[in-house]
Amino acid sequence: MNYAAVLKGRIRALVSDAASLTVLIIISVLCVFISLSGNKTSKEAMPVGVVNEDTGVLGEELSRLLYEEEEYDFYPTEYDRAMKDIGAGKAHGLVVIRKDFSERIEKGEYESLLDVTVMADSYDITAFTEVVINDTIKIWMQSLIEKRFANLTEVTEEEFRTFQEKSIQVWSGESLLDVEAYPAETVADREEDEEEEDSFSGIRWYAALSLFYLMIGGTWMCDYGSGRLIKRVVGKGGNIALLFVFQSLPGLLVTLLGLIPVLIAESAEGNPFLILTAYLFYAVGACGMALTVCALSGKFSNLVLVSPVITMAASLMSGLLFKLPDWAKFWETASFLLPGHYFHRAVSGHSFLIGAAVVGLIWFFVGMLTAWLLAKIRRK
Amino acid sequence: MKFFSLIFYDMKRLFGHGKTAFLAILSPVPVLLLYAVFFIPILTSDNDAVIAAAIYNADENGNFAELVNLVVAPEVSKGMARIYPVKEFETGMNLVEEGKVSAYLYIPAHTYEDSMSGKRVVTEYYYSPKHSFDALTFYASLKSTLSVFGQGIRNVRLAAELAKEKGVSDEEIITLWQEGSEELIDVHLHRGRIIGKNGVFAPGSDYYLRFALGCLFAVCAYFVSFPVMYLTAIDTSETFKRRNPPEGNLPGYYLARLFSGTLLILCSFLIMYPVAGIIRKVPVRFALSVIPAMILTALAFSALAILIGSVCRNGQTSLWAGLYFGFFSVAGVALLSSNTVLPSFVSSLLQVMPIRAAVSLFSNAMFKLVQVRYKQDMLVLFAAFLIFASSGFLVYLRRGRGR
Repeated sequence: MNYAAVLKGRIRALVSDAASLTVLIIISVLCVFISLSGNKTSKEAMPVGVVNEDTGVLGEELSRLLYEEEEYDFYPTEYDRAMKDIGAGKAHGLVVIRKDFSERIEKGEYESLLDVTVMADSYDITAFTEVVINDTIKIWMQSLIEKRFANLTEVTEEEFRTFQEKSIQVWSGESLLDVEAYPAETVADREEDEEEEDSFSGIRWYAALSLFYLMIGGTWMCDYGSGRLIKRVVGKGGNIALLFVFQSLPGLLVTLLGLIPVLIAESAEGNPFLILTAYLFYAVGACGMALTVCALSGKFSNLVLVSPVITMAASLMSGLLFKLPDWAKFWETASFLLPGHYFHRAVSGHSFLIGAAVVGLIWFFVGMLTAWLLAKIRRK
Repeated sequence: MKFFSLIFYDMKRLFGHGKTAFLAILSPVPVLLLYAVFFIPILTSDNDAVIAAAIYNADENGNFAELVNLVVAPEVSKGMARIYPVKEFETGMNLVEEGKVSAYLYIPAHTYEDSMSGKRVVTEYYYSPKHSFDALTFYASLKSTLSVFGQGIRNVRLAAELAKEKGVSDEEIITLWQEGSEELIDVHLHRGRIIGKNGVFAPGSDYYLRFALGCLFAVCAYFVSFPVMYLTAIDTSETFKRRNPPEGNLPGYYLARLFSGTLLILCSFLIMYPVAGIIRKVPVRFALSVIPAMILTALAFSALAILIGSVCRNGQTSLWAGLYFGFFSVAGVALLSSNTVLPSFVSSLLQVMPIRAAVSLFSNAMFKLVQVRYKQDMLVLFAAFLIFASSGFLVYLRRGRGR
C-alpha cells in the first residue's frame, strides 16, 4: 500500500475542506484574542436603574451613595424608562426607592423600603442587592443615631454638623471590623495553587477547541467503523493502524501550526518548545479520541451533535477551559485518562512526558479497537 | 396527500432519520447532567445543605462572639448552619483541614475592644477547599454584613463619646449605647427584609444559576434543530431534484417540516424541563409563561433551521452553517452577559439574536417573570420567526422549483 499517496490525498482533502479549516482559523484567532486580552478585556459596570419616588430627603441620600458605587453603574431614571431599559436588556436591574422611604426610616421601620428587580443576565455570583441593602442600612442607622443624639440633650447646630461629618467619614472609610478568608491547606498546596494560576488561558483554550476541530473535521474517520475500509485496506495488504497514522498526520500538523500564533500572542514565559512537544502528545491522544467518537457516530450529522458534548466534557474535566474548582478534585483525578490532563500539567510547568505518551498511545489503541469492533458488528 | 398525513410522514422521516433525531433530543441530557456534576456544591447548597463551621473565640470580651452568634443564629435555627465552638486554635484548624467542617472562624484577642477604639481588626476565616463554594458564599455575606455592622457600631460609639463630652450622664449614655446596638443587631438579623426577602445571607439569591440554565435550554434547543437543517438541505438539493414534486405541494411540505421541526425541539424541552427541575427548583406556577416561550422558541429555531437548510447546497454545508451561526450567537451571549465594551452596531445586532432572546426568556420565565422583558423577548423571537419563516419559505419554494 502506498502510504505516501494516502498522505498526499489527505493533505489535498484537508486543504480543499474550507469549512473545517475555517473552524480552525476561527479557533486560532479566538485563542490569540484570549491570549492578548487576558484580563484586559474592556468591561463596563452593569447598569442598574434607580427610581427615587421618596418624598423626603433620605431617598436622595441613598441615591447618592448608590451612584458612588464603582462595582455597578447605578443611574437615575424614571420608572417607565427603567422598565423600557430592562425590556431592551440595557439595564441589569432596577431599584425603586418607595415614596415613604424617609418617613418610615424616621419611624425606625426597615421592612420593604425598596422594590428591587434583578434580571438573571449574568453568570456573576454576586448580585447588586448586597450593595443596595448595605447602603440602605447605612442611611437607616445614620438617621436613627442622629435622632437619638439630637434628642439626648441640647445640641448646638454646629456640634450636630460636626457629628454628622465624623459619622459620614466612618461610613465612607474602611471597616474596622473585618474578616479575611484563607484556604485551609498546606504550604505545598498553596505553592501549587499559585503556580496553577489561570495562566496560558489562550493555549489551554486552543487545546480544548482543537479537539473539537479534530472531531468535526474528521468525517473521514467515520469510515473506520464501517468495515468496508478495513476490508479494502486488508485486501491491498495494508496496515490499518499505519493508514490511520498517515491519514491523521495532516490534521495533527495543521493544528500544531495553528498553535504557533497563540504561543506568540501569549508571549509565554515558559519554554514554547516544551509546550509544542506537549501539544504533539496531546494531539496524538486527541486523534485517538476523535477516531473513537467518529467511528461511533458513523456520519457527520451525528458527529455534529456529539462532538460539542464530548469536547466540553473532556476539556472541563482536564481543566483546560477553566481552573477546576477545589470541590471538583475528583474530576481532576478522573481526568488522568484524558490527554488534556497532561497538556494542562505541561503548561502549568509540571512533568507530563510519560503520562502523556502512555495516554496518547492508549487512546490510539482505543480508537483502533473501537473501529475494529464496530466494523465487525456492522459487517454482520 | 392530506396535510395531517403530510405532517405524519415528515415526522416519520425526521424522527426516523437514523439515530440523529433521537440523539438530538437526548443530547441535552448529558450536557445538563455534566453541568449538574460540575456544580454539585451549588446544587446541594440550594437543596438546603448544612454548612458546618467551627469558631474559636480568643477575645475575652465576648461581645464579638455574641455578635457572630447573633448573625448566624437565624441560619442555625433554620437548620442551614451548624456551629462548633472550639477551645484551641489547632483544634479548629484540624477540623477544617480534615474537611470535618466547611469553615473555621478565629477571633483574635481584643477584637472587639480594638475595633471600638478605632483600630482595624481582622478576624481569620479558614475554609476547607473541598467545601470552598458554600464556605466562600457564606464568607462573602459574613464579610459584607460585618463590615457595615462594624461601621454602625462605631457610629453609635461616636455618638456616645460626643454625648459624654457634653456632660451627659453615664446612665443616659449606656441607654444610648444599648439601644443603638440593639437596633443595629435587629436590622442586620433581618437585613433581607429591606428588599422584601428573608434572612441575613445572600438575599440576592442565585441569578447566575438561572442564567446558566437559560443558556443550556436555548443552546440545546438550537442544537436539536440540526437534523431539521440536514434533512431540509438533503430535500432541496437531492430529493426534490430526483422526484420533481408538483409545485402546489411545496407549501404543504414546508409547513409540515416547520411543524415536525417544532415538535422535535419541543420534545427536547419536555426532557430538559424536568431535568432542570432536578438541578434547581423550577416553580410550577411559571409553567404558563414557560410553555408559550418553549413553543415560540421551537418555532423560531425550526424556521431558522429550514432557512439554513434551504440556502445550503448539501447536508454537510448546512450543518457547518448552523455551527457557525451557533458559535457567533453563543459568543454574543457571553460578551453581552459580561457587559464587554462593543461597537454599538455589533451590540445591537447581538441583542436581537434569537439565541440571546431565548436565553433571556428562559432565565426569566422559568424563575421570576419580569413581564416587560418577557414581552420584549417574545417579540424578538416572534419577529425572528416571521423573518426566518417568510424568507425560508421563499427560498424553499425556489429550490423546490429546481432553481
